[in-house]
Amino acid sequence: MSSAQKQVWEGAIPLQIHLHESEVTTLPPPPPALVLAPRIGYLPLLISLVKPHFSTTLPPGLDTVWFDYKGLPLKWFIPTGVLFDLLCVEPERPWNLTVHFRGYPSNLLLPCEGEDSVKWSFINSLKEAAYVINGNSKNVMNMSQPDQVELWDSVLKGNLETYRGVASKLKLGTSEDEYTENVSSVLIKSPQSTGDTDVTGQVKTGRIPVRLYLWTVNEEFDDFEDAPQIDNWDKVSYINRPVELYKEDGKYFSLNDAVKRILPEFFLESSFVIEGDTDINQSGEEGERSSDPGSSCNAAEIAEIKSVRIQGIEPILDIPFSWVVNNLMNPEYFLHMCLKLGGAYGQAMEKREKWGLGTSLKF
Amino acid sequence: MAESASPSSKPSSLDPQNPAPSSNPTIPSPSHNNTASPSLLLLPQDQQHSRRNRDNCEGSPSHNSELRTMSAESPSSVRKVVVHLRATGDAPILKQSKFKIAGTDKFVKVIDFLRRQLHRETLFVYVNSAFSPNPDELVIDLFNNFGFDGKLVVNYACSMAWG
Repeated sequence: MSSAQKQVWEGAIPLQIHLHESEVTTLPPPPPALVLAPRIGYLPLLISLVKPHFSTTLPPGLDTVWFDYKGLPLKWFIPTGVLFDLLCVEPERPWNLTVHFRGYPSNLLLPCEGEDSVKWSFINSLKEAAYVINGNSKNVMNMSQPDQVELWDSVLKGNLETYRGVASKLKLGTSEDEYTENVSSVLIKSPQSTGDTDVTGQVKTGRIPVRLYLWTVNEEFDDFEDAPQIDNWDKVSYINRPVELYKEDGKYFSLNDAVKRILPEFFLESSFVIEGDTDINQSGEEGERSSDPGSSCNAAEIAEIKSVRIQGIEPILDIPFSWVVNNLMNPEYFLHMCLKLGGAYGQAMEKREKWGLGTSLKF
Repeated sequence: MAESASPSSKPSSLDPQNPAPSSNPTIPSPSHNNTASPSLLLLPQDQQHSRRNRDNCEGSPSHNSELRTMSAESPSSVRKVVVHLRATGDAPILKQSKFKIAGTDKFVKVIDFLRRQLHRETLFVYVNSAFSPNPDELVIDLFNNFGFDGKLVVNYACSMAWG
């Protein structure tokens, strides 16, 4: 197993959890609880750790636990790591969250009955992913009860080895890793390789289930301090579109290609023309300054990729998408990507250069 | 897999996630039963679907131009999706089973609609008899990913059908 995958599974976010002031009945108020939250885990799974810490101070009544960050109620079915990547623009550690035991905002959050709800949501996501990959969910539905228990248990405990054992039975093998496999051939024949490809030049190698959290920012800001915050879920588009992995001789399908394939409406012309242009033709064509990928598109219509965060990192956009998928996906076989787009048209070109979007594959 | 899950683990996740406009009775606007409206067949992703089926014959030039049309096409946001509601198990059958719903709506709207129609709080709602989508997912995404014959098949049951 790759070390990246291991790191993802071991990844955790230190949380400092405060009890909401309206629920404090003691003086002094209880100190915050410190908890290490696994990235691939879910907030309700922490309740058993958090509750004892506050139980003595709670007012009488029934507990319905939920969390907020700066007043924004947190959706419990989104993996904790994804919430952090999405909402904590400038990563803070510990991450300060507020816990509530009363007043569940059922107009904003799905009801949650603790671990059962999380498990149910997880399994259904897994079935959905299987459907995307295989065209049906049979492998997941036919899983034996012990396997099912073992799979969920491995996620709860963050046991990657057990997980891999059980998950391999699902036959949801995604893509081969082009990075390891093809990198040498890419290096060797990339410049002239287009010559001897078959007619289409593209081979599809699989469909990747992706959950994309899209946040478009229009304001300009220089300082991270002034960066806008997500204070309302309406600001985030939750996009579920599979990416079809294409492999072309001599080059690979990059993260950049994937983002543009998912969101053609934001990249218009560039999105698909870029296929031929970004990587390969950079050296050819007119060689005009920064005419490379941008040339094919209308600057006015390009959205600018401000950041793509996946499992806490912001990979360079040139990275092979297959590597991203194989190493950074979550255990339910979805790749969760937090994408921030800007509409800063004027700067788009500059930024593109800075981001290295115009440069070809150099690995 | 969760077939065997006990009903006690009932996912109340069928409740509205959002202040879904349950107050708005006009949606999904009813349509007639033969609703596979031709316009749906032009959905951008529909082309993708058909593209999938002819993998190997996509020559790059036509490929590109097709895709360009696709991306230039009006955003999926204004599209309507035909949802075909099918009862499973002992769930009552609706008089009208096909409805149009805006692609920009979340799946929770379908769930809410069913709960209102069936007067039930607890419902299990699936796509293609396979999985329960997250109520936050957009109807257009579900249609593009899992729809066929111009519609999205949604199964509903009063007890857990497919886990």
